[in-house]
Amino acid sequence: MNVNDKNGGIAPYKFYVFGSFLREINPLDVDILIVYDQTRVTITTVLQLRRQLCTAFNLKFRIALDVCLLSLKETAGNRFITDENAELILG
Amino acid sequence: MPEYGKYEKVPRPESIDKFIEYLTGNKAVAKLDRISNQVLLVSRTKLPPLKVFMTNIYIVGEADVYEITTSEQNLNAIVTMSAWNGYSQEAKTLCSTMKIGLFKFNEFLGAVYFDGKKFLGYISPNERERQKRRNSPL
Repeated sequence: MNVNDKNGGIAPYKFYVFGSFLREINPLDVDILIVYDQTRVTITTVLQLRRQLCTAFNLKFRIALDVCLLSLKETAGNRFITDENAELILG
Repeated sequence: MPEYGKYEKVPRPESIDKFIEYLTGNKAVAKLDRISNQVLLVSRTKLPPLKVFMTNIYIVGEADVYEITTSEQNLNAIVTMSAWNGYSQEAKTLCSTMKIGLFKFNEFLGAVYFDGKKFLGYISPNERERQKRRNSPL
């Protein structure tokens, strides 16, 4: 799956991981947050990315992947990343 | 059992049972009909019925609102079920422009008494107090 910017720039996504995956040895699922730049990608594209990620993750790892989606604008106005102690893993 | 590869975020059955139990005991509610796994029709005693979509997204964003409303037509409300779930302010505003209320579990139990703008903009008393404190001068 290609999440790189087509112009070779910084990808319009940031990937965070949060929840039990960071705390437990055998987590039942993996929670990630994808923060997207709403000025560079459409919501349709982001939703498609989520579907593809969930399917690919399931096939590869046989563990549930829960993906939250927020735009950059949305993250600026709330404390979800801080409150969840989400760790930036890519972007 | 984990739902591998499922991105719709279906609420846990026990969450839906609890939601239905609380609504059944609500004075504003006359009748409940489970239309589908995630959709509930809430008939009210004095106000029009509400078609409610139940989800379990940790934080409902604009993208989720788009996905839910394109898959399910004529919704009046979206409720994210677990106690620790929430939504972005942008998602709440987007829903309001579509005349859909976006609520946390407990908020919906209060919102069900209202209609129109009061319904769409309903937030819990605790959240109202928190916002008042945040906006008040030091």
